[in-house]
Amino acid sequence: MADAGEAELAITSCQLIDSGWDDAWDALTASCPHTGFMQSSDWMAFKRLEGFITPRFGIFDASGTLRGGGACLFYPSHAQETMVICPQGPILPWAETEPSRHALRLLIAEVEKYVETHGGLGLRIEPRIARPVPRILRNWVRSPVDLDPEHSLVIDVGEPATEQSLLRAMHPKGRYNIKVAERHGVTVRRSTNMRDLRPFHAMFLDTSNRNGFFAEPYSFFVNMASMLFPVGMAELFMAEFDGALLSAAMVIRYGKRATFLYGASSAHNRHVMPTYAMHWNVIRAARAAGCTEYDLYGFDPYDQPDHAYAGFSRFKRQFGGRLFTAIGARDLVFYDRLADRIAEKLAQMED
Amino acid sequence: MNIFIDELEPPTEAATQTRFALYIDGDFQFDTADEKVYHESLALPALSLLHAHKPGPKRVLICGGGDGLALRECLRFPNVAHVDLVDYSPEMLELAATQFAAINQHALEDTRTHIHICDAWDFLNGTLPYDLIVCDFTVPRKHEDTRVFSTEWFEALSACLNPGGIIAANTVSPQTTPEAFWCLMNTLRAANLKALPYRVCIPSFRDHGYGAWGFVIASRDKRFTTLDLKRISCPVATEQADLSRLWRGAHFTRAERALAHTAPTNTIDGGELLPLLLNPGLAGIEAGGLPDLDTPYDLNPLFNAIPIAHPYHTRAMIETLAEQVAGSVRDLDIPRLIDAVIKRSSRLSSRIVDELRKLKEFMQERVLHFELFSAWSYRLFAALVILMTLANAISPDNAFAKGSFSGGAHGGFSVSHSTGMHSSSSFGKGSFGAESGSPGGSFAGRSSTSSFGGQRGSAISPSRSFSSFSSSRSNVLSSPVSPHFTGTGFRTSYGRGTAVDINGSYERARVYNYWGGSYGHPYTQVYGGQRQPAQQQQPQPHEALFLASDDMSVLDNGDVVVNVSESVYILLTNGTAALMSAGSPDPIVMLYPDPELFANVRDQLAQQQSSVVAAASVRRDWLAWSGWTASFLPTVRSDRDELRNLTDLIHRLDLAQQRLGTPPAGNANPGLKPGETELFIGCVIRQDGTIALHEPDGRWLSTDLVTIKHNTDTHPCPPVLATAVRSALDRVLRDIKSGIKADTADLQQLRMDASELNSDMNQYVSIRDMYGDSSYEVDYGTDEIPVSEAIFKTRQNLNQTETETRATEADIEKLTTQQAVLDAAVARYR
Repeated sequence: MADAGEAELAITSCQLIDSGWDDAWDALTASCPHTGFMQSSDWMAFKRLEGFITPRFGIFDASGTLRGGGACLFYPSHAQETMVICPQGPILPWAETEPSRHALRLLIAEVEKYVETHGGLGLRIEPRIARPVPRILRNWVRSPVDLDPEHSLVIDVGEPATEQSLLRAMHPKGRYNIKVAERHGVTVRRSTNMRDLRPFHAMFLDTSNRNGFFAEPYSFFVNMASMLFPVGMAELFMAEFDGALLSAAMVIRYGKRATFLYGASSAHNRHVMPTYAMHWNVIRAARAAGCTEYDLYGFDPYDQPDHAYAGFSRFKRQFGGRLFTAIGARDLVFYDRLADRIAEKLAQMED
Repeated sequence: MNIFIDELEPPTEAATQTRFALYIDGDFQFDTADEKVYHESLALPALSLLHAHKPGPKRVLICGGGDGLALRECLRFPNVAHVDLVDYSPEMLELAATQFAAINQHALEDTRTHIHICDAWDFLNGTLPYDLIVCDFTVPRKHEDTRVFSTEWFEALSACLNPGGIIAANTVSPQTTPEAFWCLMNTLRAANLKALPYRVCIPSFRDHGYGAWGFVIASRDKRFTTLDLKRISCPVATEQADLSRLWRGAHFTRAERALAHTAPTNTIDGGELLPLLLNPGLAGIEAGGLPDLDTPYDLNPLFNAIPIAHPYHTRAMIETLAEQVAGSVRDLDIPRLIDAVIKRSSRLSSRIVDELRKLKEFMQERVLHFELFSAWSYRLFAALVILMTLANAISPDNAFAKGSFSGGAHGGFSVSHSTGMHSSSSFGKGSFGAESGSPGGSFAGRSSTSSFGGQRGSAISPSRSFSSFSSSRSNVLSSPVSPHFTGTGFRTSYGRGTAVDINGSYERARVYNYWGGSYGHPYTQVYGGQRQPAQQQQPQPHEALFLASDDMSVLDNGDVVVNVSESVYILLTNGTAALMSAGSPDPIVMLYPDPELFANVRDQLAQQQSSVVAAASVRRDWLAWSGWTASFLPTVRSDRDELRNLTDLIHRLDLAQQRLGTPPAGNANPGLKPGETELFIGCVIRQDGTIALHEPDGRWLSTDLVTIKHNTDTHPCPPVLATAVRSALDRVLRDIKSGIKADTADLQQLRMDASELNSDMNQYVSIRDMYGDSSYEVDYGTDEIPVSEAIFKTRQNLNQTETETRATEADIEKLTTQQAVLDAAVARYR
């Protein structure tokens, strides 16, 4: 365990990489199954609009080839109390214990250098890998929050699946409801027009009010859409009936995966099953775009009645799909930096 | 800079221009429909006062305002001879010269206009003095944005004013962020400027949640007063702002002005403004400061004191996040942290250091029980929770997280989880050192793994605890403390066929059809659909109006119902509890009115009512100010509707508490006997499979759903009771099955963890034996630590995993037993 294997020697360095590396970075992350859109250069550009600083660390092998790394989010704080977050990352050779341990150590060292000047109490990672938790994360603690849902429902939409096989794999009720929507004449419009953002957001707020979850404000979507619509990474799917918008989805496509990131639906005319028509269209569009996966995102696999995703899960289950359970976000706390701040607080309290 | 022009309405015959709204980095700036209310209110009062007090040609400086709209207003004054417009954004100035040219009336092309693309700070150096300086900056989102709202900034401006010159600035909302507003007034005063603040109602600002907007006129030498505004005479006509009413906006109540006594001044280094902007109502709490810990082990003051660090966040979000953090900080390597803090002993008193040392010694062998220590360990915990919450809260995304974790095996490695089984109890807001097994849990105790983030008010998430889902009682009693009023459901949904909860979430209202009035004396034995006296001809349909909890609703007549299933509910009214069916207006059976249950329901209603009262008071304040615009502004009309709805709800909650009544003092509910399972309040399934119902007189009647045995009498069991019990059985059985499913997944994970830990342990032991040196360093995750320490930690982790495995197995066993009882009951009573 103390000794490094052969493959470990291949990775030699980690360093901050700038926008000149965007293409190489995106090529790497788009082809890596253990990560997703949150590591892309465009998503990071969106996050910069949201006020984040986005340091990106590249991991290189002896030949100078980019092999992995992590694009991070860092929200500047006056009091320097913040975490460096590597969403859906880092990109490491997760299947091989020693090379990934070595690479992760190099990354940690760079992040520690970074926080010395920028502040920060720890590093949070959230690679898209399934359980069991890799043993190299033994000294990392489970984070209090995940940016990605722990459980998600994924439909394999790529070859060899066909539209017929996908329909067959659905719950009969799901398949039936797609037909119901078709019979009622529900249409699904795809849009990357900013004008559609406002009706989408109004419905999204309504949905959050109905279902009791925190909704991102309009400004968040303005920033997201203005950055991701033009590059084709985000798209709205809007199901309409009788000229009225009944449901909408903000879908993100990156690499081989399409993700149902935000959904909104009206409480009216549910009998025409607009959401079924909408998702079926998303699935077909994902296939046409060469995606192999459609990630329906948050899901409760245990049918728990009080689960936050209970209602959504009952609906999503109609589309078939397989459960993906991630290891969840993990924190490496920089104890010395945390101790500094705690000592300060304790002294304050005594005053 | 991200500029987004949101096209709202295409040109029409009436309006030849497209109506649009401008957003910068996602933040709303103006809507062309009412931008003149803002820009006229910003520039014209100061220009009018200047016109009256200081005749002659004027030099004007506009800082910010690259859209050219404040410039348009200035240029309307004929004696404005020269305007310098300074904005750092070439994109915005380009828009002003092109797309906005029609609305700014080509102000940038005016010969008096001089454009400067630079930072306003740089421009001030060495510039000629001005008669009027207009500041039109966006509202600060980050600390660096507050530099142009600082004492240093206003001092620099003051130095650039001609004698008699005026500064006109936009500020922040005195309504939604009063502490920040008065901080700015103090900042102006600290820069030796005499300031006259006023506020204006701008509908589009209100729509975006900005509230009434604040402006200020400031001067080095003259103190302008409300009277000056009252007498204001504007030589140019306004189109949207009503300057004759402006003086009203300059009137602030004594209570409002009192905030100026405590508000700080904003300096560049101090950064006082942003925390106040983000934390209205929390004036005086320094970012990351600590609450007064008068009540040890009460987390509420802690949560309340954690400041908001991002404009996207609300207090409810931060408190939800803090709860999640509080549930997970114990997973940190506390001994290592304590060691690191002790190393900083030069900054700490010997008292703190001594206690930290004791804490460290105690932790060598055992899991962490902070509550066994005195106040300083609590303070350590407090500091830890605050810091880690801040670390999480600073990142805007975390509040919208798609999941959360607060300990337990479910999330993977048990190694980092000192204890924690989801199915044993839930982590409760507001409790720190609660007794083991109490609903609150404790810092060192067990916590729920399923309190998913993003669920407003989800302080308690007992979703997989059998003890909670098996009983409607538990859900009724487990409402969050200090509920927050957050949603817009009271504007859009209340009383319109939907039932709204305190968070504004809503769902279609259920209708409950039953005979009006009370169901008699609590000791009346009513079962089997005994009809009410015929004082009413028809049963009355009552709609659920307010969702007090997941299972409990307040109806339009003030009665409280607890839903058992889709078709069965318990009606609590006038100190009685009646089991009701949606299909019949008569009680199925009267139940024991547990005084504790009634007291808890009343408490919960009272808490929610006080939240609504506070929310209504804020809205009343707003409408007192802007209500006159309701006749022509739809948004203000909906504010008025919302206030009416809130007021109505306050009365109904009053009524609900009255109608709830008080049951006669009786024996406390004895709780469940071994082998019993609660189906709903007042109904248990016994070990032998019979169903027992708790009667009003405290005795129990039993039924096999064919007959009812009451004392020595036997009656046929009414079909409606049998149906109700069957539906409750189905619901509880479904919940038990999902609990077993989740537990089984946990168990699988725990066994996988144990296998990995055992394999690591074997390797560590063999390394130690091979080298014979316990200080030999080995990999432990991404750390390298002495092999002895790795063995110690791995053993601890194995012990914890084992404990959790045993607890999960026990839980599965318990649930399986209950499932067997339920299965048998379902088969028997099918």
